Amino acid sequence: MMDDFTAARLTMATSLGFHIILAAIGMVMPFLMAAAHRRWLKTGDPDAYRLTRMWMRGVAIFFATGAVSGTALSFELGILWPTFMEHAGPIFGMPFSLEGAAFFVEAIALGIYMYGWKRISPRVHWWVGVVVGIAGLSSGILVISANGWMNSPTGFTWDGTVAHDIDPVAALLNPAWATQSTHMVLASFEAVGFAVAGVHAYLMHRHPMDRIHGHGLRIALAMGAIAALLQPLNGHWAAQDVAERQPAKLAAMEAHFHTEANAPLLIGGIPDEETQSVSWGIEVPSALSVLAFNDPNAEVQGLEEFPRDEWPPVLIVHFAFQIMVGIGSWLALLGLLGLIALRWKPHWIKAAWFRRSLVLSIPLGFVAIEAGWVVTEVGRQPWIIYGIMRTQDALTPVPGQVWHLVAFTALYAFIGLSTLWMWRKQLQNASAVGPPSEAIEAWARPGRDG
Amino acid sequence: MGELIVIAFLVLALIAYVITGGADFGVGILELAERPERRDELRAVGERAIAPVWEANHIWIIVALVIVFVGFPQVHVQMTTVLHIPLLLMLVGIILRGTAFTFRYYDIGEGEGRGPWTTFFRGGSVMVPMMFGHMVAAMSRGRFSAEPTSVYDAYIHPWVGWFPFATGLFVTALFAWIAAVFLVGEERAERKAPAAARARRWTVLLVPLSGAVTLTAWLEGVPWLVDALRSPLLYGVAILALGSTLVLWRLLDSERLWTVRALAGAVVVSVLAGYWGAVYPTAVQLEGGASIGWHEAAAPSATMNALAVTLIAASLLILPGLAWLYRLFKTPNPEDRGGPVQPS
Repeated sequence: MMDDFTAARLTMATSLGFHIILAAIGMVMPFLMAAAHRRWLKTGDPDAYRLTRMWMRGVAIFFATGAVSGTALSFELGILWPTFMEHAGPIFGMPFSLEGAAFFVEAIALGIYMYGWKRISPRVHWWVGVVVGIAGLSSGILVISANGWMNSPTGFTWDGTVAHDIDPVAALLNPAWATQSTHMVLASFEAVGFAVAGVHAYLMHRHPMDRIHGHGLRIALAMGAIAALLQPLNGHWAAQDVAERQPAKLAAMEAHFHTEANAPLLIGGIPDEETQSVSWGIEVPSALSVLAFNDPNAEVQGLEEFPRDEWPPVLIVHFAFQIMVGIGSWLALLGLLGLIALRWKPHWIKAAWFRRSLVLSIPLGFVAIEAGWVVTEVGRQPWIIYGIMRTQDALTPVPGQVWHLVAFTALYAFIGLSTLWMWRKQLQNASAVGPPSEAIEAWARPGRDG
Repeated sequence: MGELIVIAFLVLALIAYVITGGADFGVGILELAERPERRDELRAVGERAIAPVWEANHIWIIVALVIVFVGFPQVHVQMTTVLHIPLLLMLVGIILRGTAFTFRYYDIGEGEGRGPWTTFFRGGSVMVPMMFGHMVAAMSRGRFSAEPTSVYDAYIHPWVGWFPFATGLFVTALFAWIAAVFLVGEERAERKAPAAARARRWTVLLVPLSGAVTLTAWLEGVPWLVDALRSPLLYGVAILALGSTLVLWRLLDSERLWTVRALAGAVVVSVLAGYWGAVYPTAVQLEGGASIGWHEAAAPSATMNALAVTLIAASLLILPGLAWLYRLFKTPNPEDRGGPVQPS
């Protein structure tokens, strides 16, 4: 039988891995919806209205699932890692309390937006839709700030057992919050932008007469492409930050065992922790030194500098990092082509090669998000609070965690599949989403005909 | 100062959760209790009533949780370890119920596919208040073992018993009662009388259940009960609860929507205030007479002050938003009466 520690870590991974996808969708879909909505308000194009309605349903379905999985997660932190929360709660509580507020605003705004058609002024109504997005984005940034604190704990002094001199604001603005949260926000826009673009590329092919999909594809592609092109720059910044703060994590990401100057960047390769060597990799000379310190001659610390029991699992972290960077590079390339297509080569949009590339990329951004999350979370191990508390020491004393794991994995699998199934049905029915009724038109455009 | 503000917000968040979240859970409980041929109609009314507001209503539990884990870490540790099992069961209920509500609502095609969602929605609606009641009772009944000798002693014994069970039933019935009262105002004119009758039936049910809670607490020798029965506070809130219930009984099928809601709110406030007043300042009663108090468990003042400021600032943002939400969707709107609700 699996031990409680492994089961608890897997339960946490499953819960977060599930929620992170919904969180990304919840952060980005409202902006897509607001973009389509604005287009309808400006042009009166009924297809833009239909697209708004369709995306609004997407927001509603994914928000409901994300809200409950997020609620569960806020309890899971203490259920699985009570000792961690006992010490960390009073220190890094501020991002959580602010996040609660942002989440509240998001729920209120979503209720008003979804059911407020014809009830409030059309301008205010559109702005409420934008508030849904802003509040969702703020929630995401705040939660990532809390995670940043686990990677770079600040705002207290530690005497070995208890925290003193707590400064909640310093904990909120920990050194990792900016790099981590911008990286996550861009990743969400990238993943959701390309996923939505891919879905509409597919539907455009299936239903060529319905203009809604061409609109949807263009809006989502533009959003995803811009994020995909900004992400490598942000990633470089994040890598430098990690090199500074968590050198063991960077070394694991790169399977970099030995300290050296002009450190090479490793592409692929299978690291072996026992022999401290890598087989089959391609090395790009000095590139890791540049990535980490902007200087080809810089010395990069290897894992050998750290006690063996403070190494993160090298194989997992290295693989996850490769997957993330690989997908990020592909999406950046596709984003570049996409921007060219949107601006100069409109016929590409309907070309089979472009459509296939987009459809293939539907899940990729989410895979990259999961991989990136593995890099940051598994790369932090064995620490739950970096350098302060080990994950093992935070574990709940309650036995039988494997049952918790089994039950929640089954629950999330069921909910996840149901959400996909529900959303598929909505998409199949997309053509049935009607143009604005006369009442809606009269509300949105008083004093104009139809 | 920060500490008292934080405690006040915790009580407010719990009251708000029981009234608004409780009403949402209550809709599911009412569906389960309704005669089968009436259920579809009730479902339509219930959906229309809670669809725009339920997501917001359920955030109160997160507010309460965050207050506990930031402000009272030792209490949080006790809850998440000793009450591990009911807490997980409550989470399963929250997850299933929330998703099932949305899926049922957005499912295209009448009848088809709604079966399982409906089951999960109703089942979750009962599971959450049952477990919530168990946990509330467990924290005050004095069975948290300081040195448990077995898994049963440590994680099951503290919350299993007649008093927690009676409290679970009471909370479940209270939630259903809140929903029944609120739904009268959401019904079309010709359906108001039967809806009011339903609310009255739930009112009647609450009487023996509150008796059962008191009786089981007495039989178990719950440590705070004797003092509570001697305190004037208890009689004050009991009179407030009874008075509000009696006035409510008369006004149920009137058009005075907000008066009815305020009276129902007053009943909930008096129930929670009575309980809180009886156990305060104890947060967790341990076996053998020792206890963990809210004030002993409080985080350092820097944390409490920051939390208090955050809560005040956040409420300035949220309360007007909530007021707007309720004003839009919870005041009579002739457009909405009858007919299926439109999600968009």
